[in-house]
Amino acid sequence: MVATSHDVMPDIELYQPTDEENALALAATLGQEGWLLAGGQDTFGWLKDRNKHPSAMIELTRIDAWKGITETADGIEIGALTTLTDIVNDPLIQSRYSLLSTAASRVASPQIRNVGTLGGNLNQDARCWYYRRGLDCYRAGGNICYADSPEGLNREHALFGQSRCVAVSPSDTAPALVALDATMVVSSENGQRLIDAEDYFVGPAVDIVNMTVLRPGEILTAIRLPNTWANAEFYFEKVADRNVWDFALVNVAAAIKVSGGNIEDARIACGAVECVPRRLTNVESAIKGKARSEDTANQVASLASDGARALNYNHFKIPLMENLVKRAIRG
Amino acid sequence: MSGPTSTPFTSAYMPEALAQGAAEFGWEAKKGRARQRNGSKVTGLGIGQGYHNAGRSGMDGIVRLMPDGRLAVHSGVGNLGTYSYASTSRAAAEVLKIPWDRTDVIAGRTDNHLPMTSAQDGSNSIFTNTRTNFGAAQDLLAKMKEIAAMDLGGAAEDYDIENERVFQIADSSVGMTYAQVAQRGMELGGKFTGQAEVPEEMSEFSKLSVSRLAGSALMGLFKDSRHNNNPPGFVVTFTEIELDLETGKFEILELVSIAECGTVVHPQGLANQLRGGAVWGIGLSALERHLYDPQNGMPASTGYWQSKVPTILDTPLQITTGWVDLPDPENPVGARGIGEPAMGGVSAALNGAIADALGGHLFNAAPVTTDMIINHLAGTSESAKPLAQNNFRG
Ligand SMILES: Cc1cc2nc3c(=O)[nH]c(=O)nc-3n(C[C@H](O)[C@H](O)[C@H](O)COP(=O)(O)OP(=O)(O)OC[C@H]3O[C@@H](n4cnc5c(N)ncnc54)[C@H](O)[C@@H]3O)c2cc1C
Ligand code: SF4
Repeated sequence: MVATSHDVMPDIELYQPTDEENALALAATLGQEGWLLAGGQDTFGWLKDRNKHPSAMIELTRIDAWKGITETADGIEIGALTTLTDIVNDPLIQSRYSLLSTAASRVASPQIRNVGTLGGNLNQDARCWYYRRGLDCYRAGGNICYADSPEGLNREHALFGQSRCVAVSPSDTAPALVALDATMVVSSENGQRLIDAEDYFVGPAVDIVNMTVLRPGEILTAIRLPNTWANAEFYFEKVADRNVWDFALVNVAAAIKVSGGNIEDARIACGAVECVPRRLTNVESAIKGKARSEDTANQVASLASDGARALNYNHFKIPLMENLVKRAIRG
Repeated sequence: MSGPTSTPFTSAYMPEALAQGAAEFGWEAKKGRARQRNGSKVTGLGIGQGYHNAGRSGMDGIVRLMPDGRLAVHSGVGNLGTYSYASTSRAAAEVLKIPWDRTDVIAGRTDNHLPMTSAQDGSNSIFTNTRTNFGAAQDLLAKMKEIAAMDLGGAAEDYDIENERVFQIADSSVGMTYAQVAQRGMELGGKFTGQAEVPEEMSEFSKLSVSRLAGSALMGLFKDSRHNNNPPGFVVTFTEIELDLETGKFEILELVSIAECGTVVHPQGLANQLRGGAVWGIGLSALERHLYDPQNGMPASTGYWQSKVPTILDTPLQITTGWVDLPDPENPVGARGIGEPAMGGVSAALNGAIADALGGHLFNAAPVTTDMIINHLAGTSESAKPLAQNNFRG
């Protein structure tokens, strides 16, 4: 029985494995019932609001093998349990993949970054306030969307990929990882799956209750960054109401390779405009071969919002997104 | 019932405050910067005035001169981080010319036997409660002189105080220490110790406190009468911002707030009020909002982070403060309150600066949030509804 008192922690069976094997075995046995707990910065909000009721939790923070940053033959590997603060301060990431350290530095607040992990940041749930309030919307298994309704308050919601649900990807690190062409290492008792960052996140048309392809029994254990995008020219910018302790209204992450003054290759992704980090392939191909300049930026910026459908209150995200993409290209 | 009346201010020195603010900010040199472009950024300047009526009267005062010669000021004023209990008690210490470290403020709990004090709201504390402490200290002083005259000869008016002694003006060697006066008062009892002649008009609550304290010290008691007119608290704010036309975000480059609140009693407390009020004003004009889902009647500002109170990174690196410091005639120490005005000045200046940067009289609403600025700049289509903030517009 889950306790219903509002004054105490609900009854939860807490598992604290100290090695990988145990954790994966617990994840396999508990399946859907085993809530993975990392830094708790997303989780505890759900519990505090009494809007999710996990019966068991598997705390992952004691597993040292899933923490830290190591150099590999073709790039670096970051344990999913590494804290955001450690990522911000890591010299290897700062020197080669500063796009990620910058993005991580803009997450939430110093307190949250000190305990919040990269894995938790990537797997955090939608921030749609109707959903967080515990309403019975589509994402919560119900049969209605409160946000995409004639009077819905959807200033923070999606411009793209709307499919009954219009919640956005809230993460600041996710677009950076898509731009860096990262690979997600997903482990389970059956072994490992390697998934491109871009394919890791899914929208409501694919799965309306989960934001990633992660299945029960699986744990995101590491993130790999390939050498291909190391030391590219990077741009990250986030616009939020407040300068700290606030989610993005729109963010942009760009990795651009320039050679002889011209753009050789680029990967650009925006957060908070779709349920997944939105990769802007049309912009990427439009700028290839062109100078990284104000002119190029002005020419292609409007492509960024191609296909956007504004809701009641989020029209501003269209020019904002275009402007941020312009700034990313201009550098 | 009569209709609204217009009550004159007890005093007001707004021209002085504006002149001081303009000088501190460097208005003459800076005014040409309005609407200057710097890449995607544009400068906006704003001047704001904040006002709140800032003072009440009619409360009670209780002070005691203890047998060891220390002064005890009983005060119901709270501490909202403003140290008002200290600054208001200071009026009594100054009347009695007793060092602050020989003064004890007895506060914080009703069972400390406190006088009826005004609620700590509406910027009133300094005006209201310096009146009572000043009055109670005057009563105590009169009793001290009366005791000295009784024991050492002459009339009460022949005595003065200095260095914690009551002495004859004609011959300062004739006198008593504060401790001696207090002990003598306790021997005499009656009106000197709160056992008789307690002011009839004091509130029941204060009388109860006096009865509990009766006999414990030489006591000064006071029932404040009503003042005339309206004591104002004013703040003038000057600000310069740089607004990025591509992101809708702005940075406050400079912020100067000048208080016009009578005589300054506690400069550090006042500077803190002005800085705290500035953060509050920034929240009011740029960030804080209450939203409701009109269809379902649900409050949408769920959770503290959703209320968007300013963070330290949303405030300027430096907030410059100053004050006019001219006395108000209806307060014995010349002071008027400051609390709300510190927010109002900043809020108005910031709204003005945002509108200035964007080149017009815009929005007529607070807060002006990033989405509003971007929509305005992009000339976003008619279908974009303005978000009903801080009200319930269905
Ligand atoms: C007020 C506030 C402001 C915020 N602002 C921002 C912001 O500006 N930008 C931003 O990006 N985020 C923001 N966040 C979100 C915050 O950064 C994330 O909640 C935090 O990074 C989550 O990390 P965690 O380790 O604490 O996650 P947890 O709460 O432990 O986990 C979060 C979710 O991920 C799952 N999970 C965790 N680790 C794994 C794993 N290894 N494998 C599979 N699933 C896993 C958990 O089961 C849970 O569902 C904010 C949060 C708050 C409360
Ligand atoms: S946007 Fe998604 S999460 Fe929000 S109310 Fe609609 S279905 Fe639920």
